[in-house]
Amino acid sequence: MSTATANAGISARPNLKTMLGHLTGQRWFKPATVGLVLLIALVVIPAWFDSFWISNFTQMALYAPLAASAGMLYGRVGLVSLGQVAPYGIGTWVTIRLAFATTIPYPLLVLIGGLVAALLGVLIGLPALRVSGLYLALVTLMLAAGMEVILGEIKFPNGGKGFKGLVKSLNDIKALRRPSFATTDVGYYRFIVVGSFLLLMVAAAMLARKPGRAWASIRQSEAAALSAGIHVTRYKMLAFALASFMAGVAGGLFAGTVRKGMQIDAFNRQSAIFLIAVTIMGGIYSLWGGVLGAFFATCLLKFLTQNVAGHQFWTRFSLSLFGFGLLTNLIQSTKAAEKKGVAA
Amino acid sequence: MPGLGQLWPYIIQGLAFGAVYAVTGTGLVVLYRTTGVVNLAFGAIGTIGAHIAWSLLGGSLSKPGPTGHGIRLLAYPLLIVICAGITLLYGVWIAPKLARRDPLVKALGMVGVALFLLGIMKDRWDSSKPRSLPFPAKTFRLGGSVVTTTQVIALIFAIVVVIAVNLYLNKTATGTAMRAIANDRDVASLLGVPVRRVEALAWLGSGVICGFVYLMLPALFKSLDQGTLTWFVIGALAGAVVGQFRSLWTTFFASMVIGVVESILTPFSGNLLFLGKMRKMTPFVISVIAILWISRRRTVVLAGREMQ
Repeated sequence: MSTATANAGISARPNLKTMLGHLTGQRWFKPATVGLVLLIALVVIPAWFDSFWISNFTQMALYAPLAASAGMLYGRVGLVSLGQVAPYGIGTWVTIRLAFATTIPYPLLVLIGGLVAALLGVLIGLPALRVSGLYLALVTLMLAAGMEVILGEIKFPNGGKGFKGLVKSLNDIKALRRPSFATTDVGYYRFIVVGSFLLLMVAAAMLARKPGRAWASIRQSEAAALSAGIHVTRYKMLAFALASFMAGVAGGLFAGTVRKGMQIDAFNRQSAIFLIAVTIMGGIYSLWGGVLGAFFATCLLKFLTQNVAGHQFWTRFSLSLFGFGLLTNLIQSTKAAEKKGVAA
Repeated sequence: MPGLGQLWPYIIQGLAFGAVYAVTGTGLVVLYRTTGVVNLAFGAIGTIGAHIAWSLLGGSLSKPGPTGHGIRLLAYPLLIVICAGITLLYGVWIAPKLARRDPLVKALGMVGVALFLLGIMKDRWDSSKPRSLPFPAKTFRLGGSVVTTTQVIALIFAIVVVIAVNLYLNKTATGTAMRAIANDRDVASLLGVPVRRVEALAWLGSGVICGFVYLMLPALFKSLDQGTLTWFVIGALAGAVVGQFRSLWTTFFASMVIGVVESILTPFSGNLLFLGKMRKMTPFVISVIAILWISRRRTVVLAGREMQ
């Protein structure tokens, strides 16, 4: 056999990487994957898993848009927010307060919670956007810490009257209502999956259009973006508003899972720090990273807790695992960038 | 509004907390100036050191305070050694791997360390149980209010640390090398500055400061609460932010002001009750205002040059 024939034989033999590349390059691949994941989430999981796992998948579905919002800001716009739990908390508070005070349908309440979070996000973000990099991270961390103090002081409404909506006696605490079509845990899980899916679709649509291109340009170089006629401040504000809206809606959805006695734990400084670790571990350059990070933080940990190496080991060490994961991720990305000879 | 007589005990308490903020801020600034790292794990490192000291003093889950039957002589010095050791270990082992990344990524690396240590603490020392780590101290009366020697030590220590670090950075060869590295790591290296060694020294110094801070902090808080002590660093960052991670004296005075303001808001009542309730926001409000003031002139970087 001649050398030319042998070379032709080698190049004609498809390897796994080429095949995968060809497959993922197809136009139908992404919509099909999204459809399949949605089908599994809405049909297969409720049919196959018990209430314990439904609860974990509910947490995952809630965490996905939250992590994706932080990831989108960091990976696509180059803005690091360590305070995404602040709009998350605002969305939760507003949704709970309005749910007790009004008869507005629950999905609309969640939307209002998201809009209020986005509005406050923009108001807070406008001055914060004067800074970037480390200082922006610190400003957002401080804002999250401040929000923890405020929420700790005003507390979450529990069915009372007045602005705070707090009852005078513990016996008067009311349970938060859920949408009439999703009163059961499985029904509410499906409601959250649909809500989170819509949020991610909105984000994907924005990323694929003009704002996404403007954000990519800003991420590469603000000066270049300015010289190309991109209104940097406006697009940064849009990114902040979208991320705050996603977090706020996620917060509103979260409200329905803890129907009585909502605590501040999910919105404190530790949660803010944990969220950025989960986000970076999942991946910041794609919205799928948020889903993956949420999977790590909820279902995978529970699976390991139940099946691998001791009952409490994984739960107790979850913070350590994510801390280690974050550090490893940063070191590996640095190594990879240095290998390619590009700035990380 | 409370009178000066009522505020006096809170001023003393505020000065002590401000001093601890100031020492922490000094540790953060020195490290940032030399390595470009904002040590967000400062609190976690100190807290794990304090917990180990608590165990060595004979603390157990059934008793919140240490029994004193443990290795008393070793406990407090070991706290400092552990803090310095963990900080140095990170500085010589992990930090060089991220040395060429921007300060934000370096700070996120420290977030990883903080979470890692918190996980260990949650497993080894059940965080739901109350604990305390008292610092051997006496009390005396000053102007009608009770003052502890811990508060006095904190204040004197803060002043000594700021003066000593300032002198060290400005008058010694290693201090000059630290400033050179802070200015330009590559140029300093070309000029023969042993970058790794000087950076290791900065990490060690920051770790020792961390140890001293967490020797006093649990006593000032009267608690060994993991969350409070670990994230204390976020409040302490405020002073360093006001000092723009450069000026030690600005960091010191800003920290003292933050500590005092936060403390004197405590007794506010009536129409001003709101201020008292929100007093814990003081460091965050001050630092956010400071950051916005620092960056009031918008700049962009074009071809390596900052333009307004």
